[in-house]
Amino acid sequence: MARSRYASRLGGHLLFCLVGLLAAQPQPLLATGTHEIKGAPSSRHSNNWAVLVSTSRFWLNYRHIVNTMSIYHVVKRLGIPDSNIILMIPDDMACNPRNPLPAQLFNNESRKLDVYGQNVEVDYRGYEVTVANFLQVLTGRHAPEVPLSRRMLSDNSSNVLVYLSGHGGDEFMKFNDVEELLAQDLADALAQMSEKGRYREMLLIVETCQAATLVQRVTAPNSILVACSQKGQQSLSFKSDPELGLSLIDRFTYQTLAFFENMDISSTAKLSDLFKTYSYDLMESHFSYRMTNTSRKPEDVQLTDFFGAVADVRTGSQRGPQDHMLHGDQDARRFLMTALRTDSPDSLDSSLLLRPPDGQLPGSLLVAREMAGNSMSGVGRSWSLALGRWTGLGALAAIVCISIALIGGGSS
Amino acid sequence: MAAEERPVLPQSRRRLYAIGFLAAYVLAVLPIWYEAVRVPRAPLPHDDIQALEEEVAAPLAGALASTVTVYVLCAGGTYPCFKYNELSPYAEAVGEEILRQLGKTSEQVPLVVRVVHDEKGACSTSSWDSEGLMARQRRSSQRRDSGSGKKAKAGAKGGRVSNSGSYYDAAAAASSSYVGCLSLASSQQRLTGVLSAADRALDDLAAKELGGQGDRPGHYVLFMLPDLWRLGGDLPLGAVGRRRFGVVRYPAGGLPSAPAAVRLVGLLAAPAFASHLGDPLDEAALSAARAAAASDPAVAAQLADEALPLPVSPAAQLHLSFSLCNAHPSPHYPSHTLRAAAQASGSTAKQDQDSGARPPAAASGSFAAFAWDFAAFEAQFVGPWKNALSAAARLTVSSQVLYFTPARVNGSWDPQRAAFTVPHASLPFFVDSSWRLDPSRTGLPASAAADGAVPYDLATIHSGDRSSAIGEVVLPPMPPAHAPGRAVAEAAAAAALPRLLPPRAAGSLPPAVLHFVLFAPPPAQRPLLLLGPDGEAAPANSFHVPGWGMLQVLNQVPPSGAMMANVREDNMEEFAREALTQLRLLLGLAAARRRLIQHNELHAASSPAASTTSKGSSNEDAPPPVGRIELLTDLRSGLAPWEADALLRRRTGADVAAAAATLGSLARLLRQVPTLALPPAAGALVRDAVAALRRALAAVEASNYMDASKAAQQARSWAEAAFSDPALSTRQNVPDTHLVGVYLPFCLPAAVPLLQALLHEIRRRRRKPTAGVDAQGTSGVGQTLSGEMEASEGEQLIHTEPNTPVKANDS
Repeated sequence: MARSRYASRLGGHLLFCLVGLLAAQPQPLLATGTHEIKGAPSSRHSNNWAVLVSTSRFWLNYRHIVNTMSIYHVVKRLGIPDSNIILMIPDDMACNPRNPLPAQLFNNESRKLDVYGQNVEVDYRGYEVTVANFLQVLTGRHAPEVPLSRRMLSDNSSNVLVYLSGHGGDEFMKFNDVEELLAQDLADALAQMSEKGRYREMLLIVETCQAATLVQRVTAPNSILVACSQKGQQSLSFKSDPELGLSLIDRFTYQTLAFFENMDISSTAKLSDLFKTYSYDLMESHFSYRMTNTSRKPEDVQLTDFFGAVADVRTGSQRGPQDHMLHGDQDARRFLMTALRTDSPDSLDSSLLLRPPDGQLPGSLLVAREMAGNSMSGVGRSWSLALGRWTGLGALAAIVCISIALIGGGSS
Repeated sequence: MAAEERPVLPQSRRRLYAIGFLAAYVLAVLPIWYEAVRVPRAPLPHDDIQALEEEVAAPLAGALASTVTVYVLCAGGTYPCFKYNELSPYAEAVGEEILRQLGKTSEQVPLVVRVVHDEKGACSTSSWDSEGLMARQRRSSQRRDSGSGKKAKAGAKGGRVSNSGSYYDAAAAASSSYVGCLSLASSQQRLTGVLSAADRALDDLAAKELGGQGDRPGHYVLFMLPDLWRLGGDLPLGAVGRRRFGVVRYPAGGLPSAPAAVRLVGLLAAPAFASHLGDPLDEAALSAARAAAASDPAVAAQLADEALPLPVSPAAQLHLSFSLCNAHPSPHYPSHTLRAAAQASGSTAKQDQDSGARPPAAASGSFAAFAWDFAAFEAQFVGPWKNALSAAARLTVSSQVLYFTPARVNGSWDPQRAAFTVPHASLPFFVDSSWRLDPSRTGLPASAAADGAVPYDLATIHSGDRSSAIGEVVLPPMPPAHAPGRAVAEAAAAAALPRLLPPRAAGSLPPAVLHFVLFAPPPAQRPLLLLGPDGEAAPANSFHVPGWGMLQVLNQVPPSGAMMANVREDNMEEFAREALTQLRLLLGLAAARRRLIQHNELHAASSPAASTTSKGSSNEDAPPPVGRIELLTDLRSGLAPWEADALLRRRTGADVAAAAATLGSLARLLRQVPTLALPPAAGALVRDAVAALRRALAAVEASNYMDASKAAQQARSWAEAAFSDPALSTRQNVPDTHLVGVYLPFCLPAAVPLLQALLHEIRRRRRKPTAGVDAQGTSGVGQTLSGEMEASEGEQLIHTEPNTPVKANDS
């Protein structure tokens, strides 16, 4: 039986990652808006996020799902918790009825490495994998009802890894066979992210045909763009399994996975080490990278900065003697009862008080309505807009009808 | 005449109609097409935003000033007192000492130091403003009357000192916003009462004397009292009160301006009353801090804490999620756990046989699942935190009890400690991500109350295994209506339920979440100790992770054989205390408090003669020794108002900066990305944010804490909501050719008959001699204009009928 391995999001937050002791940086909030400070990223990131996307449905695209699951396997093994991974998988290959090896996904026919693993949290699945959702995850613009677990809650101390795998072409990438992500959209989304301070550094990896064209419009600072193929080149598949009757993985991701399988979180391998393993002989396409912050080199970028994370755990309690119950001073017990009685009610922002202390409720409703006033007016505005549009269309239709009737009538 | 067959319009009229319809078509279709393809953009106040960005970029733009009033009580008699002209130098000295203890220059701190000298029968005041504050005032006055040429008066170097002596003028002083004369020295009895009061009693007495004017955010009163009983020997003693008071008791033989007393004022006021936590450091300060951190790990830890971003969402929301995790509330063990335990015990069994330090066998009998009375816990401990911090952030609370949440790391038996220990290196992997800690699965206050009308405290979520309400509040039973205690009970209920409304934009901005986990280890792993980096047990058997929250181990042994057990009161208290300590740390408030607490250790460690080296003080000559500092804690919340004020200062500054930055980002983005839409609702949010930011800046200048923080929060949450409005990015980039291509199939068929008619007209016009057409047309129009009736039109038709061979051909 195919077990449903799409574990619902097991919400545990395992911890954000290492903060260097000297993360003492200029106030990040100030740094977001000003162009001058954007040159160099801060000395150390404080958390990691990964957005891993496969854009292809259907059994024949098995390899694209395996590509994404391989990277998922890598980042999870290196310590990024599921709460910090946004996984977008349009189809369930592991539990596909055509899969003779249920609940498993393999990167090659030796079937040694099951990249599906034991515990997978898919955030966007099936038809939820859309360009709009992908761009919303990047830019952080969500409808209110979207739960936290489906949002990327990164800030300007986050390192973000984005991995895209699927079918693509010159300056576009197909999503679910029904729509396309255009290079300009991607560039705009990244520009918005950097403008809002949603990442400190970004590593964007694209595994698709003509991948370099998808990222060529990106100008957002501090992003590293890696593409597996150039314009006019294919991103080829690899390792077909006779029992599945399919190609298992794409060549670029196969090599990437092979590299990371020999690495652990303590590794100091650099991005350049990864690049050295890419060969044209195996991939039959030229990979390329581009760093929008030109002062950085692949030799400077540590891979675990993007693919791994370790929580910064502190055990210090740092309590003073006053923090004991009754707060340490000797006559506190004597004062406890009087204090509880005489302490002024804690000063509250009166506008936050829906119900004033005298407990009158009618006024509170008024406040509530006032506070909710914006949404009401917004609704009214949108209605008037729609009304305007529809009357325009109606008028046009009427004009067309009348004119046809008149001309027809006149000429008969 | 044309009754039975359809009337044939005159040619000129037909032409007119055709052209009219063509024109109408073009006029109607083009706007519709434009409306459909244009990017809807509400107008943005670009100039305002740019001006605000510049204004906020100026130094100390969002920094709330603190006013420290040093209330010198003169004992009279033989004890020395200040003379009138000694007050201003004293105020200046105090101000500079506070700055020195802060480690900042006068330009970097908005600080007002006032001295009130209370002598029997006379009261005089003097005040000193820091350079940064005056620079800000100058800027704002320049801005206000820019063009009028009014010159702002330049202040003296290091601050402006103003003097005002007032004799029996307490009323005038009280009418101003500052603390006036309390006439504490008016009678000997009153004076003795004040001077002999203990710290805590003095705190209450001051609150009573000052009434409302003393206990306001940003206004601190530091009493300078002569120590008539020489409690501290030759050293001045200090205390920070539960409210916004402090007291320094200087040796009665000297003056309050003695270097030691002034230094103690600085030591008290700098961390407690004048601190600006999380300040952006400039380059010099940053490098100095790095150097200090390299030598001292404590300083490094403090800096790291201060540099951490606050776990508060842009809409000023913070959700505290309390979870009680029962690792294994069952007597039965999965086989692999048993094997691991057997291995662990087997390896240590040999050497520990004699000592008897074995894992307690009784543990296997007491396997009960723990439950807690969270409602009472919240009412007693968490509720006051919510109230204390309500101005700085809206705290919401949820709780849950989880079962079967094994840690990913097992403890190993340590015979020395007679406990299972988890080494520090394993702690990052202690919490399993499969624990359902995440409250967002079951709904958060923001999503529960997304329409802004339902207060957090009323939003109750029932879902799955998280059965508790959001922000559940326990109330005493209400007496029946018209019963004697009814009114009192209602007032109590109203005070207990703060009814925190989410801000207007809260729906689209997720709250920040902090987890507070009480972890009951499996019976076979009890007691469980977490070890610190030095191999010692963690002080409170807990750890915390910045931005995530904290976890504490509950080593309570439940009664044997029971299925369920309650967490004991004292353990809950311990948890509350630890949660508060860690909350303070996570909110960045610990540094100031730690400094006050550590002062005593330093003082105790060094002999009185030796210098008590304090961070920030860098005198060549040893600073004068000072006595102990007591720190009273607010009993109800554990968070003193001055701590909440410090958070308010930090949050307001950060909010102002972030709001301006977000608005600026949005404006830039709209310029950069031409396809980005700005719906009218978002435009309204931006305008509101701009207005709120202006209000916030004005309130900051007036050092009105409440208004400033409220306006700053509004500005930020509205700006962020505008930026993160999903409607902004609904429209993706579309190539220009698509804009035509998509609408062509709609417009073209409708245009075909019209174009056909046009073509026909043109063709006919070409075929016919132009003059004839013109004559025909003008004559027809002229006849119609001359006021002829329908009948004449019929005549006209008959007249024109022979002249329409083209029409006959065409049909």
